[in-house]
Amino acid sequence: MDQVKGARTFGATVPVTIDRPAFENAWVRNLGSRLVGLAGVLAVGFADPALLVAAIFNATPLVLLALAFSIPLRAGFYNIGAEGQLLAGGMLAATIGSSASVGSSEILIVGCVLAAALAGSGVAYLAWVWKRAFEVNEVVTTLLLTLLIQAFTSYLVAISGDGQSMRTPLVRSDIRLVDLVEVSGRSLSVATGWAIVALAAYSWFLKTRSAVVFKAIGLNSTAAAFAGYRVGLIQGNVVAIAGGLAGLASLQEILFHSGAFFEGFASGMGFTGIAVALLFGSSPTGIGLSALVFGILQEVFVRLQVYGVPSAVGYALQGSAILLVMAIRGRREGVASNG
Amino acid sequence: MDNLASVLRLAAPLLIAVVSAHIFARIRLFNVALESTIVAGAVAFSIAWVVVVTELGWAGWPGFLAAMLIAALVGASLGAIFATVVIVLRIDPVVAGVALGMIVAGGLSWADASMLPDIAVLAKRIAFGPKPQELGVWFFWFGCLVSVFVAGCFRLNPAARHAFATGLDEDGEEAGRQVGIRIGALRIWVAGCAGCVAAIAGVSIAAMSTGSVRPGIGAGRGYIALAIALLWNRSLFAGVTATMAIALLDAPFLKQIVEKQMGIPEGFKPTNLIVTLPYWALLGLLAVPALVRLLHQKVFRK
Repeated sequence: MDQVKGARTFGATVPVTIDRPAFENAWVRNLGSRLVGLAGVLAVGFADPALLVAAIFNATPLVLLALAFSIPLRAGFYNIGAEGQLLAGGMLAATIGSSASVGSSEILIVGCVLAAALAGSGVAYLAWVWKRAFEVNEVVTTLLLTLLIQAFTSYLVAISGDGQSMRTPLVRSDIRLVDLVEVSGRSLSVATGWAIVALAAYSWFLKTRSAVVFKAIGLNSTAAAFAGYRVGLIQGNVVAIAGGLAGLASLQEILFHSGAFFEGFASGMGFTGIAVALLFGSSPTGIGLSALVFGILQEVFVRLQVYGVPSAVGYALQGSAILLVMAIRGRREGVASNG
Repeated sequence: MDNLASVLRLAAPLLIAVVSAHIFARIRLFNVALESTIVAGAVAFSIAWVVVVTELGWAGWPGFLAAMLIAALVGASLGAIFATVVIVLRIDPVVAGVALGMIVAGGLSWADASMLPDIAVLAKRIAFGPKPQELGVWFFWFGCLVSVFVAGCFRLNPAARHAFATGLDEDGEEAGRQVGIRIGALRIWVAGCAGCVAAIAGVSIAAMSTGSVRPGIGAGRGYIALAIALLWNRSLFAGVTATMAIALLDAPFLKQIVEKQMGIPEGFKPTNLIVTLPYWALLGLLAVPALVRLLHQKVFRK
């Protein structure tokens, strides 16, 4: 077992030990399943580029939602209400994008991005405040807030729309994101780039000492507090960042795909984000790859609807995949700890 | 009286669901799939009701009770599966709940696409003695009975006391193992009972429903029940009061009063905004125990 230097962040130092052989073995084991996934994605890309583009389009919000679940989980916070944060961000961005009559398009796009991130952060932060101040389980508050925001956005759609299409007014045409890639009518925008940047930032972050601190807080917040870390402040910041990422996940729909907030556009997306975060592990490559796999699955089930296969089967398959992967992982860890 | 009856009807499924969430909480299983279990119970009841009446000819109460039993078995299976996944496969309860919820929701959407509209049409044709409104009030009293029974059970029944003790923490689990209790089996059995109660909450929704039974019929009651169960873990009184408060805020007559007070023009009803009232209230209620404790500490210090 190697002793790594003390991790010093936010004003205190704790010794960190990493069991290197076990870590490397686990990495190699996971590498096998990831390579299989990657080979599958590449095969799909060669066989049907439009399917691959559609899969990347579907994967874009899933990556951000998976990060919104994975990052706070490291710090011991179960953010299972990312869908509510996404809806809050989307509604605020759609409102600003459709109602602003002055200002350049660049400034307005930045305003929409910031608004979406802030709205998502605000909702997530509220759940954290309830946990911190009133000791209320965050699973309950994040779920309740999602229900609340679903109803609230539904009300806003009803009062702002034309009453028939169940959507908000369209955002200004000059702030709609342009097509970067287009294959057979399926296109990608810069929103996909934002998801990739978020993934890269997460990858960089995992190599910093702050990641170790987050993990220490997640594993034992009391011990971390005794070690001198400001647990509340750090956890609050992490939750706010996660909420911001969930808010950003709405922008592909609002600023690119439909240009408006359609009621129910994110139905079930939050739970799918959790599935993405868990399928191949919560590492950046794991999240990216499983988002692609889920993106392909979603597109395949959309196409299969023509043959009478309901898309709901795909949703059930995602749940089954989580259980299967977690069961295999639990069994491996059990064998490893017993052996 | 009509207003009171409407509150009782709204409180009935919630109260039964809260009992289920409370039992799950007592054995240290936080079941996020409770909402799906409730909806599965409602859908299973509707399908079973149609099949029992049309195929077996059991109209009236025998058919109703048989359909309810089938729904309860479906709920019990889901509860037991959830507990097995958590206890035997050692999967995190939140993750297991999310995954099981997705599987059930997917299955229900498939049922909705393939057979539920036909089932709804058939179910409406089957005449049954009591009106849906009367059934709702009966289910409320049933919920009260179940909650008193469960509360008593955890104090008086040795098996339930064991389940509670082993669900407290890992030390309790180890202690139970040392005295020869089969902890895993006991917790799975109790989870099955909790799932059964959750499905009956779904049955009450389906039995009261005048429209068709669809996958969205749970309307978030499972999540609300999980929140109220947190309050109930502190006291039975707090749990029942919170249930009644939420039902009151959800009542149609209150919505009408709010709409009138807000001076909203005719033909424009912001129902979705008023629908959020119970959620706001629940968030406030969840903060109350901590606030009371804080106040108590300050007064005590003085």
